[in-house]
Amino acid sequence: MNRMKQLGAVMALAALAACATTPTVSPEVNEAKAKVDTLAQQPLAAQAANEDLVAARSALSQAQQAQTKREDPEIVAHLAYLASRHADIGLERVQEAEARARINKAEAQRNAVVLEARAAEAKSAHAEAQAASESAVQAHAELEDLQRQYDALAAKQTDRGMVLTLGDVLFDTAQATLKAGAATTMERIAAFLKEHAGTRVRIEGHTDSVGSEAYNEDLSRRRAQAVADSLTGFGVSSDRIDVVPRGEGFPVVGNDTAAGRQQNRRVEVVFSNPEGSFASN
Amino acid sequence: MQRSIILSLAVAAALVGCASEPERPTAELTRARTLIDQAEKGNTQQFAAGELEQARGKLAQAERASKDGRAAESERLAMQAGLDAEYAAAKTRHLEAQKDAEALDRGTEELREEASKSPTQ
Repeated sequence: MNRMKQLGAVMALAALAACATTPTVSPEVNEAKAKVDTLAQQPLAAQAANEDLVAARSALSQAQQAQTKREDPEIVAHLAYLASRHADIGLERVQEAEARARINKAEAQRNAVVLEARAAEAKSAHAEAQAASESAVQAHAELEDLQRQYDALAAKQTDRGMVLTLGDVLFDTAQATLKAGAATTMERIAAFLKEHAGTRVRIEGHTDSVGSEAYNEDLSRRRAQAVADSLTGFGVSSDRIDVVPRGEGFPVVGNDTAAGRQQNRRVEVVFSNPEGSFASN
Repeated sequence: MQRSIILSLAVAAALVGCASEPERPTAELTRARTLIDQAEKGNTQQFAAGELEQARGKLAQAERASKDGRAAESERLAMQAGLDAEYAAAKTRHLEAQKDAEALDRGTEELREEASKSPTQ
């Protein structure tokens, strides 16, 4: 009787123990639940891994039900494994989507950098072109200025370069001395030469055909020299001046009239280019 | 004659009764094999070799269990093997994309440095 009682108590305890040893939640189910929760919290989960999230939740719910029904722990663990794996796959897909978004962003940035570099290049090319154009405009303006100055000197463009003709009226008759009235012209030539330090002048004396050739040659030399002297008097270095007596050999018009002869009696100031060389002799 | 037919039916019924567990999980096995094949086509060997190996191991176990008539266990192993293979493939795609993103970021950074080295004059 006593023994029977004892046996009954032991059996009851064993039955209770059997009930108590069934864990409320298996570690596999716990782990699966944690993973499913993590996946569900991902901002991209719905977009990138919706199917995986649905499958993971379904497997998790089956695992929990199996656990509640105290089914074979192996089956509970299996269902929890499926839930975990679905969640794992979903998390990988979310991370892949994040990486793809990063790729798109990087590509956009790359394009922006390329565009920026191209724009900078174009801007620099434009600036260079503008600078070139500005310097061309400036060179043109300088040239125009020079032309205006020659015009002011009443110098004319010839195939020998710019030539300023000093007429007979600036000289005393048959003399090699410059009239006082020529001073203004001489001063202006000197000022021009001071401004254009590279320019040289060739001073050519010319006469009409009256008188001997030798006399005319000498007169043309003396008149040219008088002009040269006047210029050095205004501060032009004699190094920059060539004196050339042309005599009667280079008339501009016929010597058969008085007016023609007067035109032929002249001194010509030939200007070199700014670098100091003459178009021809 | 009649009796022998009845007998064989009874035997067959008994056999079916023995296999009252789920049928042989051919579908799950096939599915797992397909998923493993697909995973092998990518760079899985480089990025998720361990996961792929796990899938292959479970498939082998599933096939053995199937042969041994442990159909339920075979089905469970095959399902797990299929998901392991899918996981290996997903992880590979993720790591590949991440590698691409990093390379692209580096490329853009280099381009930016290059652009800043040749300043506009």
